Amino acid sequence: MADRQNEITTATKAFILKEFLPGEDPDELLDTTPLLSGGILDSISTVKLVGFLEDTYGIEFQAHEISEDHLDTLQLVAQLVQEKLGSS
Amino acid sequence: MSSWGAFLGLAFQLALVLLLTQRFGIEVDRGLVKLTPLVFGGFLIHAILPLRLRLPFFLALSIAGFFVVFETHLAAALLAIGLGLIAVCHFPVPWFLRIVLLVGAGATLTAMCAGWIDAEWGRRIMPILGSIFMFRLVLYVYDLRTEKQRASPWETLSYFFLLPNAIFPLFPIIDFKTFRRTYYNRAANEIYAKGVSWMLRGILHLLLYRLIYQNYTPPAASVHDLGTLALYMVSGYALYLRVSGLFHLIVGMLCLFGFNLPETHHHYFLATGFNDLWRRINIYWKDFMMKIVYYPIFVRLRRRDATLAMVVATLVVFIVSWWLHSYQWFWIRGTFPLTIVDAIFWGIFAVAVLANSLLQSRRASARSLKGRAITPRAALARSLKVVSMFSVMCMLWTFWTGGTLEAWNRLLAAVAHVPTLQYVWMATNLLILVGLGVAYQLLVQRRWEQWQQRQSFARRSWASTVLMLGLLLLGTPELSGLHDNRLVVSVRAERLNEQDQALLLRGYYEEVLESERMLGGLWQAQANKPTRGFLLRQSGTMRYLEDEIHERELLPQIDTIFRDAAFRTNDWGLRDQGYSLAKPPRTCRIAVMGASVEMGSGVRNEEVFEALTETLLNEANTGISYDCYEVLNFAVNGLTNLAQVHLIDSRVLAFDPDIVLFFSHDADRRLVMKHIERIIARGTAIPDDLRTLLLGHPSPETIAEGSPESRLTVWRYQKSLLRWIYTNVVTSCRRAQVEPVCVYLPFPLGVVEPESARGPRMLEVAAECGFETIALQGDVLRPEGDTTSLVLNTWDEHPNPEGHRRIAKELFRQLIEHEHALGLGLTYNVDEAP
Repeated sequence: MADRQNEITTATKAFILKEFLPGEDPDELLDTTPLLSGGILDSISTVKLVGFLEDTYGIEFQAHEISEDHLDTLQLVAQLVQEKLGSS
Repeated sequence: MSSWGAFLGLAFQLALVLLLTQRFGIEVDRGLVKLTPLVFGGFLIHAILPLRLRLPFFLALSIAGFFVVFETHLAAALLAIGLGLIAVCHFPVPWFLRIVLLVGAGATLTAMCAGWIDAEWGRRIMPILGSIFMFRLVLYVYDLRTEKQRASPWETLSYFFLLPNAIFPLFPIIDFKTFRRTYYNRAANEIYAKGVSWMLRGILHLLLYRLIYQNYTPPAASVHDLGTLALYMVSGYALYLRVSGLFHLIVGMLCLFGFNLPETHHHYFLATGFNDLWRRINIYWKDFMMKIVYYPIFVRLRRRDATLAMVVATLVVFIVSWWLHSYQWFWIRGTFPLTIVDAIFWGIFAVAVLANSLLQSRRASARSLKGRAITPRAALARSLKVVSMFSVMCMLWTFWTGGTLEAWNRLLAAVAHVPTLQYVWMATNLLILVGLGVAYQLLVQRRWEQWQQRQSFARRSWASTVLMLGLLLLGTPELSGLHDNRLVVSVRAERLNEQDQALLLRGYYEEVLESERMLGGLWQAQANKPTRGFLLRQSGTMRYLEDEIHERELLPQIDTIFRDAAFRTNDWGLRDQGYSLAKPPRTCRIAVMGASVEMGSGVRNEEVFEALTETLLNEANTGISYDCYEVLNFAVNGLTNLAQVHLIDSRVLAFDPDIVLFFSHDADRRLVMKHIERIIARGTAIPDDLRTLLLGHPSPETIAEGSPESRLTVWRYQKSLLRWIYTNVVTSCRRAQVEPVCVYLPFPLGVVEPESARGPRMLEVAAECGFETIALQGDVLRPEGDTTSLVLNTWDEHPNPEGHRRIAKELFRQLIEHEHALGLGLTYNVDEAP
């Protein structure tokens, strides 16, 4: 379970670093770094991230899940994806 | 500093902020003053209560706020309807049925708001009720369906009945989830400090707005080159400060009670593109649209095609935004304006944001975690983007707020033939701005940010306190000695600027304000206008005569409400008591010529100074010359001096007056010019000598073309035109053996006239043309203390009943003083005048 969550976190982090934070030190992006409220992800980047997660893990997001409550940190993202994988 | 020490410091700062709102009359019409003790006292008590009691206390405070601002029965009705709507959301029936019930309730309220159901109380609470529920109910129902963790009744009720909502109908769309999530999610003092700081920022925005609105907002008609056009556009866009100021004030106030809400606006004048602006300006609106419209559409369509999903979702967001702006206006004002200009504005915005989004979705948008060093190239790129975006927004905003395509075309026509050198000059100025932007980023920005980070909480508090004390000094002329400084006076109180006062005086609403959406002072005037009978045209009281120079007249035998005051006309269509056409024997008749002030806009018939003067004259009558005095009120809302010339010949002289009182105001010349533009555009016939005077040749068509040259020609001749008007009035009157008197009445009352005031100069011209002249400028017309004590309110500066009483008193005194010329037969000691 924890391994799976770590794997999701790592993949998501790699995607965010490549797409939205090119050239940034990976160590600076922590599991708890605020992504939406911190301004790293705007609405366009958020839907790109959602697209990535849906395509990578074969899951579907509900509209209300695209929010700070679920996507504001890598930790929250991994939790949500894990939940979805568990329920599918 | 201890947490209690910091709290006391914050309480002191809050007291200063609230003192500032009082000093500068911030939202005084809305009742902010009434709410101030609740905010301050409530903050102190709320902060010391145990956490579990704070939300119930906040709710109780908010409800108390509604009862303080509204009459008891209205506040009770508002709460009852609100509780009913919330209850429907929780009915134990399927969701579909709940939505149907809510739509049904909404339809009933819509009917009430639109006036289809005649309920006075309903109309009075509707702006606030609409403001509370029009968007928040949507968000609440949405979250109710999707949230696993149920909200407590305290959370729900506090979310809807928010303390500042008692006075602010234009309210940021607060998200329910955010409202719950951010409640005391940081240290209390940190949230309170943010609240105080945002309230101060809101006040600064509002003062800056006043400064620009009062001093740097030229009329569209004055645009004649790129410089004036730039000023017109920049100042128009800058008026948005009012909205951001109010939103900061509102959200800051909520922070005082632990709601650590995010920013509503973030440096929106520094946006680098349309997407960036969309994220910075009215952020809550953007979040609402993303949540309710964009994401649901995107999620549904993405599986099919991500690009298609983005295109469709973006376009729908802007179509809905367009519609919702009118929907919002409907609940606040009761009308639903959908204009072509709105459609074009939102259309351009949609296409630009879409293009930006598509571009951004295809390439990585680099952000930084720690903040990189700014390179000269990056600084230049950013500066260029900011200046370009700001320029484009100024243009787009001007187009939008202009209200009509004709207004936009007139502006463009005014600068169509400017020399190339002006374009070079404008480009140079823009490049200088870009250069300044680069210099700021390279030399100041980083240092400033680092300096801010280094400052302790205490030091920042000191800086804010010093700023507030400085502002208080500025707002207190007794201490600063700045009694007459024009700029300082202009920000001290909320009032219409000269241009909007003139429009109000002319009855602008009757003619132009069809778009019903503005961001300047008139916007506020519109939002605050009385609930009953604001427009004479809409109330069926006025007849418009397109073929006549005087354009309009009141209908006879009207008994209605105009601007919340009883309004009656007699058999002759005069706002007056009944008179016979033939003058009774031994009667002195005085005809009053004027516009809205003289007609008595916003006061009852018997309160108009014309009626009061008649009473004073008859009470003072000794019967030496006359048995009776009749003062007939020929004034009509929006009637210009030019229209009055025509009216004297066609109507007034038939009543055989002995004296004509021809009232003048500062804005007369400008209003006459606008009147001429209108009648020429309509093709109404004008006298040959007037046409010749205006153009120097007899072809009026050249004015109708609206070329800058003809426009300038018209403006150049305005002084001669005034002389023409005065001469014609005097000639008509003398021919009929009537004594013409030009009466100067300042509008609004109580304004300290500068030495260069136009009033006395206008009277000089009037005297040269043969008028007897009277200037109503005595001390009796100066208000004691509050400058608004003689006017209806801060946005409608027509005289109130007390203002009319004082005008009557002063006019009566002056009529007696001019006995030698008028021969009224009153042997009255003016010093004994009532």
